Amino acid sequence: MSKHVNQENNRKKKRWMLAALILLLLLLITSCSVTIWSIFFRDTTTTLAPDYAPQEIDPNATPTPDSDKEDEKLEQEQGGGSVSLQYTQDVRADLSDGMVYFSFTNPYESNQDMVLQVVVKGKVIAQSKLLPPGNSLSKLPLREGVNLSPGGYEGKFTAAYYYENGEKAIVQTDIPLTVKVQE
Amino acid sequence: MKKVLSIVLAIAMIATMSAVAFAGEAVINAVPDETTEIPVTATYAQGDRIDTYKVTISWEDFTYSFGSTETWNPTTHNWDLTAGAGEWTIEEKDITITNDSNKAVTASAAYEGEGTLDFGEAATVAAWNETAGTATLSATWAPAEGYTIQEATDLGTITVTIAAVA
Repeated sequence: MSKHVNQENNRKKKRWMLAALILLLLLLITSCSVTIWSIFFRDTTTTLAPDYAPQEIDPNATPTPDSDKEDEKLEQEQGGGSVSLQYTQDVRADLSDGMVYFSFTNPYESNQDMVLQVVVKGKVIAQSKLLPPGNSLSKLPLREGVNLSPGGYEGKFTAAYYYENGEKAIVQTDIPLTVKVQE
Repeated sequence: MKKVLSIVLAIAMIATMSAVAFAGEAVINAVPDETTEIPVTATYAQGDRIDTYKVTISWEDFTYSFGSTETWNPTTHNWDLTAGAGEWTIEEKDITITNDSNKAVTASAAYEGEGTLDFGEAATVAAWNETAGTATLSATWAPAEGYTIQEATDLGTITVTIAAVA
């Protein structure tokens, strides 16, 4: 009788040990998967333009010479919008100083503020703070975590627009271009 | 005799002093018999021209109104939408693109969100030539079947793509 009870106890112990072992193995596989994903696959650079306008004007913004012409705004329908964009297609990312160089202006006659993104292969490599009408940008810092090799990349400007109350407009603009990356 | 000769010599020396002065003036005032004119000109060499794009995008109010009949439900203490009693007020809306650039661009619009909004094919917007080039993209929103709302709702986003013409 006692022999039978001992055998039963041993079997129970073995089952518990086996269950604990399987659980530990599962935990190990899970933690390894999370580690591999965070190192190699986690997307740290894709960013949507904010739903509400940033509070701060971009520190790289410079006023255009005619930025005080408030009386020559574009016509727009109530509830609609109207913006002008002025730019060149020359966009260079300099890895040595971590900056992207370009020419982009939100002319004084625009009715909406802007936020500008520089996008390469679907990833935002640089994003501005607020760019009000009558201001230009010629450079932005590369975002942290951006890894690019020297060469040419298909990219684009993405401009999002914001009303005076900070709400994002239904319309945004993409401008395809080539981004040249240099050391 | 010596005195006379000395005086004569002195007078002669004094006379030659003025000849030196006259000789200098004669050199300054000399005019060559033949003249050569050498032209000095400047030429303008056309350098690189940088294409600059300036595009204006204007859009209408993309708000669509849903009007409905609601009945108070004393059990749930809520307003119930009467089935089939609501309707959408939908009109065609425009997006206008104006091009002041020195090169033509193509303009297209794509919608992501609730329902559909089809702006059709891309339009070529001509470069500046005495006046700005213009194009209009138009679309009429179509809700999904049975789609209704009971409060103000953001439906989606329209992305206008402006591409340089090669």
